[in-house]
Amino acid sequence: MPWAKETKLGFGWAAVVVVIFIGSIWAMVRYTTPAPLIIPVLAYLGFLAWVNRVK
Amino acid sequence: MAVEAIDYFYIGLRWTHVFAGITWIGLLYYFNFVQVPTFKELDASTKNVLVPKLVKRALFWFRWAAVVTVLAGWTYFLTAWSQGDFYDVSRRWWAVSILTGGFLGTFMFLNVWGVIWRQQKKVIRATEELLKGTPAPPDMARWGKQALIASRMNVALSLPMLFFMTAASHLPLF
Repeated sequence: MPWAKETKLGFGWAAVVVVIFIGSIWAMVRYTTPAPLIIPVLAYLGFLAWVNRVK
Repeated sequence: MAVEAIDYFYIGLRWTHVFAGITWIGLLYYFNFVQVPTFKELDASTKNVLVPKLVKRALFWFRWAAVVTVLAGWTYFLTAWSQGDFYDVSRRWWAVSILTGGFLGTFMFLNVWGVIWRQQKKVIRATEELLKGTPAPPDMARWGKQALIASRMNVALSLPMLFFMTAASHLPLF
């Protein structure tokens, strides 16, 4: 059975989020500054803005 | 080694975190692996009965288990951190692992309250009105679709989230 469009979209977003989170948290720990956390925050807001526009 | 009061606090929080987490993620898998495919096979009138009864009840435990999981997890982490009970630079990969798990879980929690529940409560309300004879609103399918995308996303995120959470304590690399 082919994957539904919602499954592909959800999994695609999850892949992007995981990469962003690992990179940002690594940078936060490596440079001992919370500044990189702004990137995951923006990723969540971006997803929220996008999903609210899904028809 | 003497057991101190704070150790009881830590184990209480850790147990609560795991117990609520099992409830939350267990219900997430139930929705995605059992309920969604089953509902596709049901007729509209059966679904209209199940949504205000079964789905509403399952979503209650789902969303509140998410709250308890995240609160217990962050309370544990921040308490231990403020006490200096863990975190030093020599354990960098451990910090990356536990924080990645924690932030992915927090993202999933925001999806539960910010998308899934926000849209599903509209679906439940509309279904309850439908049973009283009010026609379904035109946006009902869109609400369900948005909630489903966030739910599928949470299933995908649960895999790395659980990996990093457990790897922090059990993978020697970390």
